[in-house]
Amino acid sequence: MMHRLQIPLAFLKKDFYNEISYRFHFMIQIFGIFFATLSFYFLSKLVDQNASSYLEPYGGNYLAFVLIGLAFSHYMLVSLSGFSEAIRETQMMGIMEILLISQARLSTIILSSSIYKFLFTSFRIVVYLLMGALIFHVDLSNANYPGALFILLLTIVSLSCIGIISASFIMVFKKGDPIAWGITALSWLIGGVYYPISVLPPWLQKLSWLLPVTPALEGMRMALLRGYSFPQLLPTITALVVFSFIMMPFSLLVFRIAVKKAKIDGSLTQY
Amino acid sequence: MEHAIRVIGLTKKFLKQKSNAEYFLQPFQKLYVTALDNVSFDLPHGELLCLLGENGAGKSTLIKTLCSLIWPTSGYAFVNGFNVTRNDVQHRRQIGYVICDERSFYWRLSGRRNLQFFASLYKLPTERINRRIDELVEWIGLSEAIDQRFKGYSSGMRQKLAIVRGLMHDPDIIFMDEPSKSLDPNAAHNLQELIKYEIVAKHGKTVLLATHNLQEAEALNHRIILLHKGKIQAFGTMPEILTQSKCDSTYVIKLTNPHPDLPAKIVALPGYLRQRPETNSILAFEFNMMPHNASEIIRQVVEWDGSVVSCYAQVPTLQDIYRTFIGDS
Repeated sequence: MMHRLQIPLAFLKKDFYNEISYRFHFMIQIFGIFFATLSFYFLSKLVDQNASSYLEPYGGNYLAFVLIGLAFSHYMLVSLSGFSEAIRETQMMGIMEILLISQARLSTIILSSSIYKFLFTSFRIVVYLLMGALIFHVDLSNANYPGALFILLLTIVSLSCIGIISASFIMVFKKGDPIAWGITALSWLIGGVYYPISVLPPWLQKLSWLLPVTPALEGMRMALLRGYSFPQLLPTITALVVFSFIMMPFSLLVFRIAVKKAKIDGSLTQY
Repeated sequence: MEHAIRVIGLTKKFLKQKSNAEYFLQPFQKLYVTALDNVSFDLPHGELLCLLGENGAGKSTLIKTLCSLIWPTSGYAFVNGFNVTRNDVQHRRQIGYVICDERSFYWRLSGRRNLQFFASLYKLPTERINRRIDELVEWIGLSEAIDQRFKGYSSGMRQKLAIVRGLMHDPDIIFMDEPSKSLDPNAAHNLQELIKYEIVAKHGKTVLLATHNLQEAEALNHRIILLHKGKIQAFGTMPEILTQSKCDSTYVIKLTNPHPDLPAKIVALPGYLRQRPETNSILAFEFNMMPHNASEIIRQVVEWDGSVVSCYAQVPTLQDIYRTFIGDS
């Protein structure tokens, strides 16, 4: 088991040491978590009084609503852009060739390259939720944590598929990532990250359900704020499982083709 | 297994980046640049081969193709019997790649952490990685700096670390792309000694080294491939290349304060090749090396009241050979 995890752990260790070597940046990141939570706490004082009807399905507390949205959006960003950022970084550092000449499989390299970002995001999310619960009294007493965690993992996998396809764009076109950009922008706008989708015009509400973010976020909020059970979460889980099963092999195939194209063009280290 | 490297008719053409005018005039036509043109050679195990050529000759393209980092347009290449286009994991296990690119390390990490990370990609056990790091850095003379951050390393130390990285998994075949590019003459000399006597002679590794440095190729004194515009111009050991070049040894005769008519008389002597630039008071003439030529010329010059300062045999250098194949480019 440890043998299988050797390469992901090596990436994790390397990224951790690299990150803490920028001490000031590391500290700023930690403080950023507290400031973001505090900002949304004050915002929630304003919003709670005027948006109770929209927030009622989620328990009526805007801070609880937005903290989950915020936490989720961080995972979304890492899943969608983390791989392409890692690929671009290795291209710019001239390390891509060294990675590809090693014994590590292509899929291992690409998945391992974002593992630190996912773990740091998880740490950030735990702090968000702890601060929300302990300081600002967000009620998570009914939460179905295993259900929420399961949805989160499935969401990471399904969004990572799109992220890997984005990384393929970077491998070939070097800069400009239309897929991650488009999905991230749409998710902010109509995915229900900062506000319930019920505030949107009806036609936009329908459109928002085409994004994987919307059902995933809805399922996560229902699990954490309303304590939905696994059978109640089944539609969300099924959709995400089907999406991941289809998209994961497809995205890895696309990435493999992108690497082959870069090898034919001789552009592996170009950026 | 007969050969460490076998290359058969390897050709690589890159799509040319069109200028704006070309885009306008030939919008649908694809333009290609030939980086490797029908390259073929064999390299036995435990040998050192220098790929010598000017910038853009195709050296790096050839090395990257053999490392499965670039796909050839046509032809075949086998490294330790593995077809490079198959990109086999076992093929990758057996090769080491040393590049001169200083970017290819994590600058904020120590040399040791860099090596630990890159060695982990070869799935080596942690104890073996640490043992190997200690062995190799001791051997290459980097022990004192190995726990310092890479960003504080000198060019020579970075190059040494790149070599250690290429050797960490104990590969049979090592590709080195201009390993002494940014080294001072002393460090470059030490590196050449290291490659020649330690890596190749002592440890029996096969090394394919790309360089545009003639002195380096000459100092390493093994097999050489002269590459020009993607084509092999000559391949072999120095004596073999010398034979292929038809670049003969010559005599150089130097005279002091000659009579004004003397140069014209010397030019008419049999075997005369050229007059070489010298100081004002000394003239130097180069002659073909023929039996008894030197003594005959000296006798004649003395007879014409010429004062001979010196006469010596000029053995062609690699630079002379290089010029006969490639010109002064």
